[in-house]
Formats: sequence, structure tokens, C-alpha cells
Amino acid sequence: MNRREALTDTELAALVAAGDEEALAELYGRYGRIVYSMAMSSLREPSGAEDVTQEVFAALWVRAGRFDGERGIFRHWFLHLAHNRIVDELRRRKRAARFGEELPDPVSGAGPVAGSNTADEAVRAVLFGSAREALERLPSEQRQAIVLAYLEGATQQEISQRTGAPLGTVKTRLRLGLMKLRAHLMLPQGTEGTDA
Amino acid sequence: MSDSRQEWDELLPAYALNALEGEELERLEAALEADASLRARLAEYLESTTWLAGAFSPLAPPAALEPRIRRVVRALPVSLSARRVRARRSWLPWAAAAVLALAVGVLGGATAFQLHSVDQLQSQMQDLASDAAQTEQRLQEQREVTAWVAQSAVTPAAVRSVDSYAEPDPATDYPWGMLVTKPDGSRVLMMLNLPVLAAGEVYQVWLWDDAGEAARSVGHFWPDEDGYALAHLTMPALDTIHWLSVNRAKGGGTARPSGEPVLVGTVR
Repeated sequence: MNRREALTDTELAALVAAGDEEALAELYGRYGRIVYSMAMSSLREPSGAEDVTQEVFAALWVRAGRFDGERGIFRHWFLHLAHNRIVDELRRRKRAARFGEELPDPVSGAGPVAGSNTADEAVRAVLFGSAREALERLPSEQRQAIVLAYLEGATQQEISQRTGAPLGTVKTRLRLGLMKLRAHLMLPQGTEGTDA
Repeated sequence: MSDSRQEWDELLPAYALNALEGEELERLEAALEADASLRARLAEYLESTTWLAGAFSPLAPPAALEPRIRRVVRALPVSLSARRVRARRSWLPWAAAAVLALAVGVLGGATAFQLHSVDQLQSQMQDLASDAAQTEQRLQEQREVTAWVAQSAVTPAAVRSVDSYAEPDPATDYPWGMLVTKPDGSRVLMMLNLPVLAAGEVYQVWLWDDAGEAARSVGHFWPDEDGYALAHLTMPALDTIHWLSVNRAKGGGTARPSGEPVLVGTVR
């Protein structure tokens, strides 16, 4: 076994901060597929997904020294950073599209939002397992708000504009939706939760 | 429950989903930095978003991606502070909001932030649009550089400040740069965090032989106000040179390198 395989994410991040390329490779082994899948699901074309995945791990390389294991969990910190980068790219593409810039063609059927008219279709297209089930159990307004933010990179103001709901209502939907997802996550496997 | 706690609790879910922007994002990030209980509450929301991240239909990245990432990071400094990038990202929405507030003040007849004329307002908005265009252009250039790194067979060379070699400090935004060979064989030097130049100064790029004695200039440039520059260089074959340095110079450049190099690195 590679010595680094036995290390925790936090220990690997400390090595990355010191310039250990093999530690970065180990973290890529653990998270590369997740980041690439997120990027493909949101951007819907492999070239952009590869570029963003590359940028995320380059950002990890230069920012790993800023991660403090006593202040947070690496998995949270890193996947939030990765999602942030994907959202930045989604927003950049939206701006570019407004100015008529040519963008890569999405791969048919590869993404969440390709051909999806509703949050339900988006969820079914890209998510699987208990997370998908948990999202599908949310009230539709909460599910829609989370999908618009998480999969399409919409800000809370944009969600308000697109759904017609007041900003305060959007904030409440995001909060309740995430809390219910977490409650579902905390349930023992096979336990049915109530949809309050 | 205090007003501020209630406000943060409203913003944390949007932050976890990266749906927050502008001044709210700035204020929450500052509060998170200082408040451990707030970070703990954020962690609860991040559990949900992290769970979502792991629930996307799994797709394997292409096998070529990992070696490509290795090549890119070899040219990057380790643990560079990202404060400058974050500040740049957050500045534009804030400034736009400020101008919007000014516009509302003018149109509503408010007295607090009135401008002298609509022309002045238009002028400020044009300035902001110009800044936004400059930022977008810079991002586009950096994307192109990243693409060249990925496409070129030549590994990029890193150039860094002397201080970053001598006393590395992850919290410091040291100047650094990356010499990239484009797929067509030409070369560009991308630099960040360059110190502000005095009036009448330029940065000059020098190539050195193995002994560090014979130097030749390959051009000069000015960075933008953020210390960013992308210099297109006309260079000889890399096997004829060993070092590259970037030095301050007077006027349009000097015949010999002057002063301490701001950036230095081996190029082969």
C-alpha cells in the first residue's frame, strides 16, 4: 500500500501545502471522480468539465495551506471550493452567452439540466441513491430552490426572480430544504423519515 | 435570538450552496472567520451539500487528466494565498451595488449621496463597466494560458520572488510567474502580484546563461494595477539559456540588468 493511502484527508492536505505532489495525487484519487462528475453534470460538456477539474486541483495545490483541520472538515471545505469554481464557470458562461460568445456544445443527455424542464427531471437526470430520494421527498418549492442553486449556479436573488417568490421566502426554502436533507442523512439506513 | 444571529442563519444555507454574492458574502465570510459557533452551524449545512456532491451519477475523468494536472501544478507556487483573487472577485458586485445606490439616490431625490449630474453617474458606470471588461479579459487570458499548459509538450517553468525562496510564508502574496510554451512554440510569461512601479519605471525581462553572467533583454512591460501581466516574449531556444529574471528598469528599459530581480527562476 502506498504510504499516503493510509493518511487522512487532513494529513494529505498538510502534505500538499508543503508541496507534496503525491499527496495531491492521492486526493485526486479520492475526489477527482466526484469533482469531474459534478462539473459534467453542471457544464454538460467534457472539455469544460476537465478544465474546471484541473482548476479545482490547481486551486487545492495553492490554497491547501489555508485549510485548518481544527476549523472544519476537509471534505466540506474542498467540495465547497470545487462547487464554487463550477458555479463561477456556469455564471461566466451565462454572461458570455448574453454577449453572444460561442460556447462549447453540451453533450446530449449528459447533464442535468439538458432538456430538463423541472427540478424533478434535473434531480432524476444526475443524482442517484439516497440523496436523490431525499431530494425527491422535499416539498417541490424547496427542491426547486436547491436544484436551481446547486445544479444551475443561481444566486438567491436569481432564484427569487425565476420562481417569483420573495427573497425572504427563497432563503427560508433553502434553509428548510438543507435541514431536511441533513435530517434524512442522519437517519439510520433503511429508516423512513417523515416529510414535515 | 440576536438580530445578527438570525441574519447569519438566513445567509448560511445560501453560502453553503454558493448562492450568496456581493456584500452579504463579504460580511458573512468575515463573520465566519471570527466566530467558531457560526462555522459549526455552517458545517451542518455543508453536510447536506457535501452529500449532494457525492450523489452525482459517477463519471470517470479521462486518464489523461491526472498527468495534465500534475504538469500544471509543477509550475504553480505552493499554497499561494488567494486573498487577492477573492478580493478581486468580490469588489465588482460591491462597487456595482454602490453605484446602483447612488443612482437610486439621484433618481429618488435623496440628499445623502447625490451626484453633481447624471453625466457624472454615467461616467462612473462606464468606469465600472470598463473595469469589469478588464477583469473578464484577464480571466480569459488566464484560461488561455491554462489551455496552453495542457496542450504543450514543454513543462512550464516557474519564476518566483527571491523572498519566496528564502523565507516562504503561505500568508504572503509573493510575486510569481509562469513561463509557458504555447503549442506553436512561442512563449508567454504570466505574472501575478508584481509590486507597483514608480512613475517612469518598467519591468524588464532578462535571459541568463548558465554562469549567470551574460544577460540579454527580451522586452519590457507594465503590469496592471493588480500586479498582473501577461508578456509575449520572443525568445531563443531554451537550451541556450538557463535563468530568467524580471527586474525593474527606468524608462524604456536598460542595456544591463539593474537592481535586485523581482522574479527569478530556471527555465530548463
